[in-house]
Amino acid sequence: MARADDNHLETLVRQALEQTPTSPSATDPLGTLDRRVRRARRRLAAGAGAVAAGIVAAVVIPLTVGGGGGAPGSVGVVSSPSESPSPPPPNTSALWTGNAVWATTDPSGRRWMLYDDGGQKYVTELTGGTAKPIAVNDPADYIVAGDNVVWVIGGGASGPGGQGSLLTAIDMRTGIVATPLMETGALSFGAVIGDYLFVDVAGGSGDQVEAFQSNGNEIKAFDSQSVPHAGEMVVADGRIWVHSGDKLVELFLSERGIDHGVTVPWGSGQMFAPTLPRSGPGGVWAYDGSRLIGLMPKALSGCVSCAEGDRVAVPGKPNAVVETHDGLYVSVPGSGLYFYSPDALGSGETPVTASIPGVRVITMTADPTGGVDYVDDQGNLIHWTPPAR
Amino acid sequence: MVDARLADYVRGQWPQLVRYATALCGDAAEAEELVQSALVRVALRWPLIRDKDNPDAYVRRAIANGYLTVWRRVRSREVRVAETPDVAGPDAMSGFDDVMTVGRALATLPPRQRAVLVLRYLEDRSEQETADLLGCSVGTVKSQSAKALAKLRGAVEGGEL
Repeated sequence: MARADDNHLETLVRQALEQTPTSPSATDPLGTLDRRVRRARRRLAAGAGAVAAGIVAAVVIPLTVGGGGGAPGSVGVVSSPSESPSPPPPNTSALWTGNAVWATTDPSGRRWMLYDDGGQKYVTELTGGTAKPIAVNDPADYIVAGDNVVWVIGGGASGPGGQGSLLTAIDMRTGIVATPLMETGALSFGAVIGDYLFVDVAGGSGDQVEAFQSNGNEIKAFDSQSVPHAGEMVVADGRIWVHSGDKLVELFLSERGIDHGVTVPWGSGQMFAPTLPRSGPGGVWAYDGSRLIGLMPKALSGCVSCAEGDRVAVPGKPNAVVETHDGLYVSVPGSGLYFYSPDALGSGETPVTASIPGVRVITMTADPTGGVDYVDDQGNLIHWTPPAR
Repeated sequence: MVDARLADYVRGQWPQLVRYATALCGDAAEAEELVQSALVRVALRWPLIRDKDNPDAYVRRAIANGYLTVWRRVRSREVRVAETPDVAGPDAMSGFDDVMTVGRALATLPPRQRAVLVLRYLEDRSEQETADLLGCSVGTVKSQSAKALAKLRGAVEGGEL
C-alpha cells in the first residue's frame, strides 16, 4: 500500500514489489531443512581422505552387506548379508548398502565408516573381512580420522533439544571409546593434524576453532582460537585454513597451542580439500562460483590471480571434492560425480574424464587402492574407479 | 530435528520468507533455495541467537546476506536484458505500464540497491532497521536508496530500460 508521504515513484516501487508472487512450492520445507542441517553438520573438509591418497595399503576386498550389532560399547562381528543391493553404476562396486552415514580414510590409508543400525550408530573399519563395529552414542553425524583416533561428531543445532553436541573418540588400536564429551556449543566441520581434532564451535561466546585430544579414556580441550563466522576448514601442508566470512584464516599448532597465522581475503566460495603437491605446496581446492580453483591461500595477500593455480570448470557448486594421484573427484548435487584426470587439469576448460550422472553423493573419501568411496543419499557406500581413458 | 522454536517459526513464516527472498532475487525457485540456505546457517548457529522465540530479524538478515554474497556472484555473470513490450499500451494503462516498467527496472538494479528497496518499500523497514539487516550504515542505506530511485525514475521517464 502507498503511504501518505510517498512520492509517485515510491508508490510505483511499492506496487511493483507487492506484485512479488507468494506461491512457495508444496514441498516440505521443514523436512528439507532438517535434512540439510544434518548434512551440513556432517560436511567437513576431506582433508584426512586426501592425505591418505597414494598411501599403499593392503588389498581391500569389497565387504559383504552388513548390519552390525552388539550392545553399546561392545565389540561385535558384522552380520551376514541382509538384502540384495540395487545394481550399482558402471565401474562401481557396493561396499555397504542401506545404512551408511559417513566414511573417511585415515592418514595411513585405513578406511572407517559410521553407520546406523536401527537407531544405534556404529563405527567400523572397512577391512574386507570381519570388522568390529564399535557402538557410539547419538548424536553421531560424521567421523574424522587421525593417526590413532577416530573422532565422531554429532548434534548441535540438529541434536537433542536443538542444543549441545557430542564428541566421541575411538582409539583405533584398542577400540576403546573415551568418555564422550558433551559440548554446549554447536560443533561443525572438522580437520585433524596427528590426533588433534580441530572443530568449529558456535556457542554463547562466539565462534571458535577448538582443538581436542584424547588420552584414550577422556577427551580434553587442548586450546581454542576465536574465528568469527568460522566455516569449513582444510588442512594443507600442516596448516589449518578456516573459512571466516570473506576471509581465510591460517591456524597452526605450536607448543603454546593454536596460533594464528595470516588472514587473507577470499569471499568467493567454499573450500573443500587440500591440493596435491603437484599443484604447489599448501594449496586448497576452493569454489569461485563457477570453477574449482587450486588456490594457494598465502599468495592471496599479494593478488588473486597469482594465488590461483589449476582452474577447473565444474557443472555446479560442489559439495565434496577429493584429489588423489588418480586425479580430481568432484561431486555436484543434482548433477553427479565427476572425475578429471591429472592430464586434464590445468586449463580453465577442463574436460570431464569420466562421470556418474545423477548420483547424489553425501560424502566421499579417497580409496587407498585407487578411486574413491562415496556414501550416497540411499545410505550406500560405493567404490568407484573411473575407467581408463 | 532442528530446534522446536525454529521449526515453529519456519512453519508459520515460510510463505512470507519465500516472498521476501523472491523480491530480493527475482525468482521463486531460487528464492526457496535462498531461504533454505539461510535457515541452515541459522540452525547451525542457533546457540548464538539470543531471542530464540523471535528469530525473524536473524533469519531475514541471513537471507539478505546470502543474497548479497552468493546471489551477487551468480547474478554478476548474467547479463540482464530488459524485455521491451511488443506494443505500446493505451493511455488508460499508463499507470500499469509504469508499475511494470519499475518492476523490470528493479531486476536490473545492483543487489544492494535492490535489497534496500525491498526492505524499505516491501518490508516497510525504517532506514535504521534496513541498515541493521544489511549490516551497513544508515548513510549507505540513504545513498543506495537514492541511487536506486534515480535509476528507476530514469527508467520511467525514459520509457525504456
